[in-house]
Amino acid sequence: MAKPQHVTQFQNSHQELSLYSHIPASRQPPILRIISGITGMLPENSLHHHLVFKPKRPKQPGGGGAELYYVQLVSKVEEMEDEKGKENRGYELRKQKWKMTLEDIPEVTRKPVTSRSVLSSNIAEGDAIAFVESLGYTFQSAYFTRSSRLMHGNVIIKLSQILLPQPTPPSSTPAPGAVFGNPFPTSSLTTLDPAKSWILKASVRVQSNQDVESLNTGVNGLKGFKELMKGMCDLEIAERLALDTRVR
Amino acid sequence: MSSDPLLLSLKSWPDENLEVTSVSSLISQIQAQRGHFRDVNESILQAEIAAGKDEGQTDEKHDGETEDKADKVTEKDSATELRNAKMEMADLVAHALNEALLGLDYVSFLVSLHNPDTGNLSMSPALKQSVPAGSLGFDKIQRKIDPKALKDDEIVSRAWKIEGLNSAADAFLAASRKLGDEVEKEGRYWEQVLAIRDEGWVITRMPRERQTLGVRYGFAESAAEYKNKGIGALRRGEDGSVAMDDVATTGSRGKAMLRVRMLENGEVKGVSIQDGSKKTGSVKDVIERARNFVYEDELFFEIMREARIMANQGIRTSEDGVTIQLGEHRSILIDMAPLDEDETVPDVLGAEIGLVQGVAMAFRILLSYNHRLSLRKRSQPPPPLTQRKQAVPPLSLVRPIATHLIHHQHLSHLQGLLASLIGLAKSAGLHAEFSLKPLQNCKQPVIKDVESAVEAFLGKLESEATLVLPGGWKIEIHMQTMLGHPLFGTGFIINTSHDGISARLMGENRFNSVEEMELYLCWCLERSIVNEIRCMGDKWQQVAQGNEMWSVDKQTRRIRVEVSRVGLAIVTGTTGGTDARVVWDGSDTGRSLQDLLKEF
Repeated sequence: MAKPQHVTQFQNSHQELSLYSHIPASRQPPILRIISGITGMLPENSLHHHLVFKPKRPKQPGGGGAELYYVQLVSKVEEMEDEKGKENRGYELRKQKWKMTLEDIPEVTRKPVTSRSVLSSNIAEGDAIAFVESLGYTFQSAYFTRSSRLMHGNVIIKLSQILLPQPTPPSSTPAPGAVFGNPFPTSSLTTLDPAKSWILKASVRVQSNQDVESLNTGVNGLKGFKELMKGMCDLEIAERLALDTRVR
Repeated sequence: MSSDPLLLSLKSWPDENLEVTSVSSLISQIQAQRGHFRDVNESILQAEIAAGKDEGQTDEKHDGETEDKADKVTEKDSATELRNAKMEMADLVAHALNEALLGLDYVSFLVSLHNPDTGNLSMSPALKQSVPAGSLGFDKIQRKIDPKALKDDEIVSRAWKIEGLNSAADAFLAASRKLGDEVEKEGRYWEQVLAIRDEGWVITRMPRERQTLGVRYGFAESAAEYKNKGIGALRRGEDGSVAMDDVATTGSRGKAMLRVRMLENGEVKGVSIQDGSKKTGSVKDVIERARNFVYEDELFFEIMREARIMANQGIRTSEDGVTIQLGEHRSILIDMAPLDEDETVPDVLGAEIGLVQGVAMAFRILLSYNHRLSLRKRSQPPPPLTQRKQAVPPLSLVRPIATHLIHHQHLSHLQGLLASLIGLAKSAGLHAEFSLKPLQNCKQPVIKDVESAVEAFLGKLESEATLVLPGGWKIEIHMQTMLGHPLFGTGFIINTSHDGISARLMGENRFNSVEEMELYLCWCLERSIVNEIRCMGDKWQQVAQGNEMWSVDKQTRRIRVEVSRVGLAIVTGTTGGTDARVVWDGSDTGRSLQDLLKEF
């Protein structure tokens, strides 16, 4: 498989091994409690803002050229506890600490887990959105994720839910930057899934895809966790094409 | 003759066949048996047959090997026996088969009355021919019973029945009693287990005994060595109450606590109190004690682990203890020791009880703090997996405590030094003073949570002292202790300022040893006194910026100022005369420097 373009722009790369499970809304609190008990720690709750960008350049017809991929900007939204945080002005999109990530389509493998390569880079300062646009990407869509993270040895357990910003009424003139969405007030965010269900993702990060021993350690870690969760939820391999990040 | 062993076969004896009896095979057989045809004639063979009735004997005769004779005979005999036995067995098997077939025929014939299809299927043809199917009938027969015998039978059977019922009832009663007891015991057991759980203990299964309940009293963030030690089985005792194994508390070190002792010149000046929790036998106390002991055990293990890599900082380890050396005479000893026998605190604990108790307490607080750090670290995603194994650094227990102890030791040394220098100056009638601000950077820490309360006392320790000497000298001493990069001990930063011209080494000076610092301060006092004398009225002039001065009026008169830890000495002398030496050692001599100079 051809490596994604712009590889050189990313500082960090790792292989991500993962398993997924669908958690109905009613099951989420008990499952979170159980995992919290297993791991012996409290979950770290967070809200993340995701911006999806698409390359401007169209894909060359006839299958020539390299594959094009969507990239994402992700940043953690600090949720303010006081009422002031509910105001729109409290959130400055361009002052957030953004992280640019590119997730490859999962590889074709016989491993019992989903395996994909992930490239990422922290954008330390400056306007991340303008930077990504200058790399030849255009803004595509925005969403939020609410997640609870726990650690079980090497396994990162993330229970998350996708939230969408409130659509701007078509009549009023949108404020600049409104297209990227504003997480405040958080109560205005609606879940993508009307049933408000959650996704449990258990993943292990491995530095190199060539490092068979570490990959095995990772796979075994995930298998062990899957076994541990048997009866509570079924952790499965994700459908490869459902995680496709290539531009069509 | 062939020596192959005879194999037992259940097959019938083979028929004579042409191949065996044919001339060609006979020839080869005879050749194999006799080797040749020479001298073989009918009469010899007849004789052989008459003698032995067996061809084997011809072989023997022919071979002439007499010693084999007996063996061969028995072999032949057993072969015959075997053949006979086989035939006999075949007879018996045939007989049994016949019997079985007869039985089958009989039953089939009987069945064919009501179920001709099934019966016909297994009837032998011979039977079918001789009798028509279904011609054998059967019926139940009624026997006439003697009424008296019937009565007897009834009585006997009733008695048996009653006896059976009675024994069954007894068995049931016994079982119900036993079950009742069990229920009571089980109820009591569960009640107590619940009570333990309600106190906040975690009840789990024992790792290796799936049937047994256990209580987890260990600490979740303990090192791997102690992770599995913090669990005790809750077994059901004789009367159903919970009994806990005391495994963890009777381990390698027994029921012991961390003991901190303070030694001065080999003499014990203080011992920490070895007082366990209440010594009652209730399960809750046992659990609590087990938790305390496992904590103490882990604490000592971690202290040893850390102390082993701190040998470069004056910390020595032996098989069963750690020694923190404080100066030449004092040391702190840390080891495990059993609990004190009686409840009262004996007087022999010594004068330094406060210090050793404090150190022991600080160790316990630090382990808990390290547990919190470990949880915080565990909650963060680890770096992506690689082959490189990351070594687990030892906890930070000894380092902060040793830093404090060493800092205090140096601080009290500094205080003593400053006090004695000032004493010297004052006894000479000069003005001097000092002030000390210990542990400047640990005062009034900002406490947000438990971690930050401890963090304030970790890391670098800083104390400040200000020394005012005669001659307008002012010395600011900044003392820092850190058992790590870049200090690895105590360092002094000394800022000197004065209003004279009698010294060159001004500004900021850094010293990494107490001796150097001591020398420098003595030097400062020396020069400050020179400056003071110079300012007394321009009668004396400094010689070459040293510690000697000569009189402005008479250059043959000289004085020299000498300062050491023990005393301030002024050596006076004139050219051609003998030197006189006046020493102030801090005690009041009734004579000041000014008096001396006037007299001189």
